Formats: sequence, C-alpha cells, structure tokens
Amino acid sequence: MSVMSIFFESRVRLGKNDVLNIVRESVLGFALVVSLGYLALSISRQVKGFDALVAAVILGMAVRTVLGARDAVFFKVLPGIILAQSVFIPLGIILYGKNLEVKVLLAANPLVLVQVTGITFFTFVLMVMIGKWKWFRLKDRMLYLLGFGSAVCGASAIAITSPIVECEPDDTAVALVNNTIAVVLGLALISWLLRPLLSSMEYAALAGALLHQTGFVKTALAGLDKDVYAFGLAVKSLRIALLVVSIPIISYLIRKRVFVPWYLVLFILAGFVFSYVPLAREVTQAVTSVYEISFTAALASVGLNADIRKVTGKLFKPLVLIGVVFVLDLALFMVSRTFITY
Amino acid sequence: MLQYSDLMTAIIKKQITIIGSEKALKYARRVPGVVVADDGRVTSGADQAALAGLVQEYKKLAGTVAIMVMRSSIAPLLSGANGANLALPQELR
Repeated sequence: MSVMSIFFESRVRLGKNDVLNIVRESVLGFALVVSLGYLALSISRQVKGFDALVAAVILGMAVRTVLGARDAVFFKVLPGIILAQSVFIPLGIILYGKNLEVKVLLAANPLVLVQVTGITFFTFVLMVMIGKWKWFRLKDRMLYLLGFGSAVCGASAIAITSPIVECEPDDTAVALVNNTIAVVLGLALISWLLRPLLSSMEYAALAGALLHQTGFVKTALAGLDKDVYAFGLAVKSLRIALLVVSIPIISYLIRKRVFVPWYLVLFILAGFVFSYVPLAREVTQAVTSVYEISFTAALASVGLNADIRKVTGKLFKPLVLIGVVFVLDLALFMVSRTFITY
Repeated sequence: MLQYSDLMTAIIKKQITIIGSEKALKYARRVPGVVVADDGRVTSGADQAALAGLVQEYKKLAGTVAIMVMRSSIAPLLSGANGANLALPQELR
C-alpha cells in the first residue's frame, strides 16, 4: 500500500478534451446546484433556527421531484450535480476546519474532555448497537451517519461523513432531516425540563455536549453570561475536533484499510491557521461565505439525487433511534457531571 | 483473479452512492443478460460486452463525468497486474 493511497482515493488522468467536455456538460447542473445553495442560505437567514444545510437538501429534493420525472431533463443537469459534489464537499470540509478551535481544545479541562469524548463514543456505539435490534434493523452505513450526526455536529458532520461512509443520497437526506427534528425536540427537553435542575455552567456543558447542531447550542445558551455562552460553545467545538479521530476509524471499518481523506488533513491545518494566525476580519468573513455556499451547494446536490417520497417513508425509525440514544446520553451526562467541577 | 463481474459491481455500487439505487440499478439492469442484485452486485451475465454495455448506459446519464467516476471506481481493482486478463472498453482505459 503506497503512502498516497492513505490520503487519496484512486486518481484518474484527465486529458484536455476530457476537461473541456466536463465543463461543457456540467455548466447547467453546476449553476443549478450553486443557485439552490444560495437560496438555501437566504431561507435559513430569514427563518430562525432553520439550518441552511437542511434547507439545501429539501430544496434539492423538491427540484428533483419536478425534474426527475423527466429523464431527458434530469440527464442534462446530472453531470453538473455530480461534479458539484466532488468539488464542494472537500472544499466545505477543509474550510469547516475554521470551527476547530485548537486553542480551546488545548486549554480544556481534561475531565470535560474525557466527558465529551466519552459521551461522543457512547452515542456512536449505542446508535450502531441499538440500530441493529430487530425493530430498527437499519443498515450499517445509515447507522454510521446517524451516529456522526448525533455524536459530533449534526448537519455538518453528516455532510462530511456521507462521502466517506458511501451511503445513498436518500440516506443522507433522512439523516439530515431527522437530525434537525431531533435537535428541536432535544432543545425543548433540556431547556424546559433540565435547565431548572442545573447550574448555568452545567447547563452549558449539557447543551454543548448533547445538542446536535451548533445553531441550537447557541439558541439554548442565549441570554446567559458571556463566559457561560463561550464555555458551552467550547464544549461543542470539542466534539467537532473528534472528527479527526472518528473519520479515519469509520473509513477503516468500511474500506478495511487505513484511509485518511486528504481534505481531513487540510481541515486540521485550517483549524491551526484560524486558531493561531491573526487574520483580517474580511478574510474570515470571506472564508465563512465560501464555506457556507460550499456546504449548501454540496447538500443541494445530494438532495437533487434523493427521492422525497422514499425519504419521508424512511424517517420514523431512525428518528425514534436518535431519540432513544439522546435520552441515554442525557442519563450519562447527569451521572458524569457529578464528578466534574465546571 | 479479477473478473468482469468485479468491475461491473464496483461501477454500479459507486453509482448507487451518487445517483441512488433506483436510477443506478434501473440503468444497470438495461444491459442485456446481466443480473444485478439490489445491493449492486452483478451475479451473472458479466463479460466484456456486458461491461461495455454498462459503460454506455451510465455514459448516457452523465457523460464524461460518469466516465471519470467509473474509471475511479475500478482503478483500485486494476492496480499492479490485476485485470491484465480483461479487455476494457475504450472509455475505461
């Protein structure tokens, strides 16, 4: 096994004619995907709490419902859809590294780090174990997606994991939609039932350790002291950092060989750059914009290949599974918090 | 030894992850004489002509991009001397 094969999938040589043909064939579909990405971002900015990635996949599925019925039309945009995925997913993942918060990670209370790592690992293992029970009987790849979505970072983690897990577009869409439904319910549960029982710092740790999407962690912590708010987000960023370990492990389970995607290496590098290199605000904002459009466009391309009828038919059992694991995670948190001074 | 069915299975499974099983299997099953399981495995009928037919079906879907995807999906199987016994369609060389 060569060193290059650890970081790169098989590479294909492109001739000049290949490149010209790809550009010519892909323009329409690529433009469609980018347009849907921008539209999803706009919608998420208008509708509070509506994750742009989920909006993108739903828009993609809606458009697919119209286009997909006519194969001749769908074939015109399919090359661009496929090309968009191969461009935007790696780019989005690399730039997502700006959320890595390396300084926070290195300064973290070791016990909090142990707690977050433990809950993340526990979430993933439970998702896979319970998901194989008779009533659920979900496929391994779907369970890995759900595991990443719940254990790590919601929609972004699912977007990052789906090409590595090699699941169908329908499954990615199911995981994304369910993750969003679950986080809404999870936020309601912890803010109404558990908030009165916990100190501010404990509540922040809970929100950061368990809620699936960063936007909802921010919503949970809104109105609290600045230090408490920052602490909760720091806990959340610890989960993002665990992608660095969890992705190679899952890659190994699926591919049966060591595989660390090249864009994961750049993701880590981006984390260090954004943590330690002083960058102009305009640069950070530009990177954020590129990252946002990359991910929304990538998820729009996934939605364009997913079937909305099949997706809605598959939502229930995975949602129940996410709920069961969330409750068990809550129990683990409530026990483990007694050993930690936040 | 590498078989045509191995190459065809790798191609179909990769297409499933990109365009979904419904479309990937629909076009794979258009190749005459080929039997494809629901998980994308080619269980019978795989030969040089069938591989060429499969390539044409997916090429109709997504043109040069599809050819690049098919090449990348079989590249790991063809490393070293693997596959020297198989005649590949022009698009996959």
